[in-house]
Amino acid sequence: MHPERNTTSNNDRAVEGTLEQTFDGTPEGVRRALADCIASLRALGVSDGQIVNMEVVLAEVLNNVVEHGYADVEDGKIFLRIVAEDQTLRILCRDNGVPMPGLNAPDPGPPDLDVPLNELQEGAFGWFMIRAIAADIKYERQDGCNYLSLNLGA
Amino acid sequence: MKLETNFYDEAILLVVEDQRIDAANAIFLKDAFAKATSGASGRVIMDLSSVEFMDSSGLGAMVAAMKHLAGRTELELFGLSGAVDKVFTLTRMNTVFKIHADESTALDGLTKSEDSAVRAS
Repeated sequence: MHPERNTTSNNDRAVEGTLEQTFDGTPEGVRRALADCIASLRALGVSDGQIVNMEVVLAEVLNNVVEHGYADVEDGKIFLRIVAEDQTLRILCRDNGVPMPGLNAPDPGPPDLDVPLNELQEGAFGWFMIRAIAADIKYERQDGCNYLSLNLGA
Repeated sequence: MKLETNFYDEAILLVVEDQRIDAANAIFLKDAFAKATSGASGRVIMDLSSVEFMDSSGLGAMVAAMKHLAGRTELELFGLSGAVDKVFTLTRMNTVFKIHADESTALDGLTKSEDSAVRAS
């Protein structure tokens, strides 16, 4: 799956383009899709700081689909669209796995570090990191599909 | 998950050779770490210089690795950059692990063990 790329640029600083791809909802599928997206965004001229934010957020979003949405589905697919416009990267992720609990995107808050070592949490960092980095997070369930959209600023 | 083990007097240095610690390989880190540190005494230092990306599963595996030391010693890290540094900073796990600025600071005062070849085999 190769991302489609349409680049238009009014000046040297403008980063514009749309990437779209559909891939397997597996850890390996996610790894490849991430690598493709990051390479394409670099080629579009997205800054290093935004690339780091994008890779962290995308990895968590996509891994959540694999681990939860498609936990009991073998051949699930994930559709991903990233639109770069001005200084913002808009992400849309669609899958047809199980809905998010309570039909809401999780908001677990920061990890509790004020505990004995053996009680330190080993999970639930993902949604905290997504919310710490991304803005305008919207989740919708429609026609058996999960739609998650979020924005990354400059 | 590849961990290269280097023996020092009173410390072991584990060099992570993978470029990513993520959902696809994090489960192997815990095993590799347990194997590499079994019977070890002294400080445990991990070199993350080769790691370009870590996700929440990778971070969870790092926490599990630290727990494996059961408070006997800290898990010390160096070579955090880019996304790895971001993940530790966002979650404030950089306050839980002992993080060194660079390799020379981390290994300051340590001498390589003479019998390291034997112990590494």
